[in-house]
Amino acid sequence: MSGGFFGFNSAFPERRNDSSSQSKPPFPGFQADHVDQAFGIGQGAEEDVAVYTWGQGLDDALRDAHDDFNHETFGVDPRGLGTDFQFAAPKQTAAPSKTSGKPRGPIASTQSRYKPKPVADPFAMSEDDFYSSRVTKSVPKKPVDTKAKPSKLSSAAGGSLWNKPNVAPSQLWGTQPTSVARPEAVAPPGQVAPQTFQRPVGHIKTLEEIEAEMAGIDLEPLTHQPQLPQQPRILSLEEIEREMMTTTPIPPMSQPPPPLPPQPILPPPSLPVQSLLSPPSRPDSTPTVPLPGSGYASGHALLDSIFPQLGATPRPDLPPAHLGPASEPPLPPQPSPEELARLDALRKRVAAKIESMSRYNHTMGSSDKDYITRMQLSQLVTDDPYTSDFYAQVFSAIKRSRLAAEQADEKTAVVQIAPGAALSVSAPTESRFGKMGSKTMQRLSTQVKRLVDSRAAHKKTMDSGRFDGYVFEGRLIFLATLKGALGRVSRSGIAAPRPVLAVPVGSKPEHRPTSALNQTSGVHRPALTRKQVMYALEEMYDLVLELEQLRRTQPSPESDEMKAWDEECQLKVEEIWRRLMVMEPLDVSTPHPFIALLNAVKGQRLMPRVLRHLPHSQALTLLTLLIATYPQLDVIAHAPPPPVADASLLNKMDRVERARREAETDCFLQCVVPGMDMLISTCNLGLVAGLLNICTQKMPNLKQVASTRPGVALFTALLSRAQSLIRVPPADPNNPQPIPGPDPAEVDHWQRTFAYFLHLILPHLPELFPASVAQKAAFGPGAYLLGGEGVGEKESLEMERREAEVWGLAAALAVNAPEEEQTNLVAALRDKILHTVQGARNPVTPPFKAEMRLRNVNMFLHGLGLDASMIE
Amino acid sequence: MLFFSFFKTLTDQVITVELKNDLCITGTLKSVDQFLNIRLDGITVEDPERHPHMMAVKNCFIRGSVVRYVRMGARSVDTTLLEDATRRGEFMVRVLKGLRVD
Repeated sequence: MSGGFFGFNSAFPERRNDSSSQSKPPFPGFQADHVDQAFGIGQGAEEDVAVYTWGQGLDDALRDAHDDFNHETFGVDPRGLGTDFQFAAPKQTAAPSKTSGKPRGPIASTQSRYKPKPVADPFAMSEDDFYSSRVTKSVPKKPVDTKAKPSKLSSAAGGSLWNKPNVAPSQLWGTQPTSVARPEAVAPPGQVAPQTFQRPVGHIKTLEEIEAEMAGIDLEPLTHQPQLPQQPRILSLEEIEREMMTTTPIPPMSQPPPPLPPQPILPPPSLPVQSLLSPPSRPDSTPTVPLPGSGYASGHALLDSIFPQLGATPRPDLPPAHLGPASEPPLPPQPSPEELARLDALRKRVAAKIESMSRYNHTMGSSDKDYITRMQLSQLVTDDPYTSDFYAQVFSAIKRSRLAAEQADEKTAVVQIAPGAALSVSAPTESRFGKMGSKTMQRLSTQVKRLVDSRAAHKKTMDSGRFDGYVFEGRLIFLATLKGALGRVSRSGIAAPRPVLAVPVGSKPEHRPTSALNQTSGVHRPALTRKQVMYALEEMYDLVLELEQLRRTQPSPESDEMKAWDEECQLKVEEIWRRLMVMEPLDVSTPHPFIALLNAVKGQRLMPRVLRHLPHSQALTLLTLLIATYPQLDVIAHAPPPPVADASLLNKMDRVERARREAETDCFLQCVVPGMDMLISTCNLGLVAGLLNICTQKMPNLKQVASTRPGVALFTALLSRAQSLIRVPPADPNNPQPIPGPDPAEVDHWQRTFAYFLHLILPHLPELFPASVAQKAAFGPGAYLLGGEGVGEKESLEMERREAEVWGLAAALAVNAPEEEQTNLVAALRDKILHTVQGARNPVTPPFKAEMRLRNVNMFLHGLGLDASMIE
Repeated sequence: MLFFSFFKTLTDQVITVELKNDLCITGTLKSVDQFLNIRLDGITVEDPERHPHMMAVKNCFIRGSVVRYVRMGARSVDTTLLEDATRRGEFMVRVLKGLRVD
């Protein structure tokens, strides 16, 4: 803190030395000599009330690094807004003063808001920056301190009345302008002084210019140096107290009034800017005598000269003649009354104009709304809009394809900002952006692009050290340029979100990806753990998603990219194939890694999507492996028993477990089996025979497989495919060319395989029906309920449906079987057939159920050329 | 961006927004922004006796941070796609990248 505590130097010892070695006021917090100036109390000399301003310089401390972007958030440079809110600054205490106490006045233009500031930000760029530079840099930052400079310099230049003549401004600035230790402190006076009387207001000097000018100006203050009453030294307590009592009333004598006579009516050097910005409601628009305490005003002039675009540039209608007084400091001592009247009228006109323009200040116009919208849109810009807006993009794509999209070319709604940066908007047909039409989209795109570019440029000039951590991908660094575009809310941002979940990123062996297992040489190895399966599946999902994304962005078939795209897809498919681990040896582990993937519901859901992309040969390989390892599937090995078998004996845990297994089975039937069916329906007879052979060879417990729903589905599919191949369709009269029948050798192979299969399954055929299994398993109250009407309708219906599946298998067997085997088949199923038909004819059975049962039986009997009605 | 992306697909559908002050507003979703601020049109309030001041309100803008739940029709959500979208999220990508030992 540069402020003192009750006037005592409360700085740290090292800083005390620092400040005393450089001729700062001994107690900066207590600047009694500025008091009269600050309060604008007359000519100070006749005022002998000491008023102290403590905490001066607090404005530095109050300012924090988070204000850096305020001017972009709020559109107006906060430094240009006036400093009314800086309560610690003595210029604020100048409120009673006629001129300085007023707010800065309306700003008529919004133009400057949208332009990046050409000036380098004089404030600290980061907190660290701020603390490290506080001691040295704080002075130029404070308009408070610098207010003394214009007074001296402009008085030296002749504008004496503008500033208080009897202040000793050189206390602050006059003694060490050449000091090397504080170059920053030196620079601003130079920056300001020439500007107030030499340069057009809009010009901002380079450092070299400033230094050159400083060298010229230095001489003058140095001449006054010996007269300074306060030499930089450490004062004793008594001295300080004496000073406190005496300094205020004593008019600082160091600066004799400038030789030029006062010009009471002429605007001070920087008045054009100030007067134009002052509220037009000011009753006397004649240029009043600037009160001595108008440090605020001069500080304002300083600000205006530093940030000219806030005040000066947006007024093209300003007559250049009006700037005259500002650029010509040595004014004629007494301007003519006509001149004054002219100036007065001019100013009135300008004031009226500004008032009319500023009527809607602080309300949002459409341009402001556009600005906010652009800001918001710029936040949405990413380099991969398909990823960040995946859901909406694909959702709308699906929706459109469902609605049979009329325009095929309107694929996605992505506004391309730049290569590698785009913004996704909703589907053009249904969103608010879509309603805008393509022209608006185009304009939007250019606007946002401009905004993003300017942000990127701004970011380059900034200290990049603030963005710490979370630099893990290029795109996030890019996003950092947009950080703070809407203001700084918290330390986390879109680029560096606050980590809510701390995910341990360890590499325990459990986490080892399954692909690593592929390299291990052992023939046998333990099965994949659940975790490995899950991670493998997630990686698979990623691959499939990438592949699907690739397919979605298919280039036109003629273009050159087609080949590259094709290769890329090929690579992805190969990677997927590798990760499916289908080519692992059959007995590498139990269950086989591929089956382990399929055992998870997640994997089952993924399977149809994978199958879609695999080439046919690979899909067939997959099918072969799947059939060979069918018994290892969870849905086979741990198939749930029929639903109503022993329901009354289940406790809650069992019920949950059973429900889970049922869900797994349903999912398998829904996701995997259709894919299998589809593949089987493309096989030729030899292949079907081979697959059935695998079933008989690789399934030691064929009965167990057949008693599960997936097993039944598999066998039924194989048998019916074979039948449809064997049965040569009748010659089409329209197509005289005879359809080639199946190869006799293949048929022979098939018949032998089927005979063996039937031989294996026939003894167990009656036990495959779920109703029979349930009946067998049931005892206690369940046995009475079974088959009766006590069972819920839903369950009994479900049972009938499952019975139908097995009847379907029986029918498939019947169609394939030669005649002598058909007799055996009927014999094996005789009891079941009779029981079912009788049950259906029982008047107690509800008609819909009876109908279902009869239909089930007929499915089988029709295969043999019989019908249920033939049964007595 | 996932939720923003998700809510974008709900535009022009009727949803119910439950606020943290237990006020439930049903209306047509007009727009949503990246802060999940919600603009509703043609609103009705559940339990209007308790909130008589909402009787006259026809549309509203809801700040995203005051929303507790958003209820929507099950048919307007593609669950599988949503699962995929979560897989594509940056969070998942980071997790998987961190775990991949290559």
